[in-house]
Amino acid sequence: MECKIEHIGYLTDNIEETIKIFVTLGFQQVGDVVNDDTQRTKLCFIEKAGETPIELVEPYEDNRTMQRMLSKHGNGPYHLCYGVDDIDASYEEMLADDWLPIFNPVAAPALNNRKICYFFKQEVGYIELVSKK
Amino acid sequence: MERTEIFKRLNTIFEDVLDLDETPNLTEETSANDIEEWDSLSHIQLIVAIEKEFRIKFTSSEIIKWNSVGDTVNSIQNKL
Repeated sequence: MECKIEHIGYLTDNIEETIKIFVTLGFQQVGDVVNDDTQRTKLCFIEKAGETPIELVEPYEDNRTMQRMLSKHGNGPYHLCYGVDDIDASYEEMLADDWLPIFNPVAAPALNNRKICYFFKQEVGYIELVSKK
Repeated sequence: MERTEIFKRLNTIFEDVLDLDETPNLTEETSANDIEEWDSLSHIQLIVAIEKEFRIKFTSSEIIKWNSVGDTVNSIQNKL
């Protein structure tokens, strides 16, 4: 499957505080913090010239699964996101390669409503696919 | 392995992984609709824990066919 890393997903318990630290590392916030009520997360992107963008993800308080991930692992990267031309075809391709889907492709408000889906494989962890258009 | 033993172990796994206050008392018909903490992400964590507990590996095509804990137990029994 032709794909390229579009961003790194980074779990945080406080987006604003994490942004402050990344700014000291040369990153800049891109756009506003977005509330994704479907995924029950607050999201924000940060970028630095020549670096892969980072998507900061702060789970809502009632998102108990991700709050547990935070308790267990602390703040840090937790998924890679790959841009794909045809997300529906890529979804089927991933299934055929024995990746475990988290959910079917859905529109993501933080990504201009481009469709996303997540997969898991024990050897790799979580990856996200996002439609390039 | 007897189904009762599998259910006993699954109850422990669910209680640990989902951080439940008490045992979920899983039945053949229990599904994610019955346990609030059981969402799509915690489903993955449950599968990882189940594979580790029983020392087995499921394929994705097996997992996506499960509709209830009973289906999961069937898959576990088939692999033991």
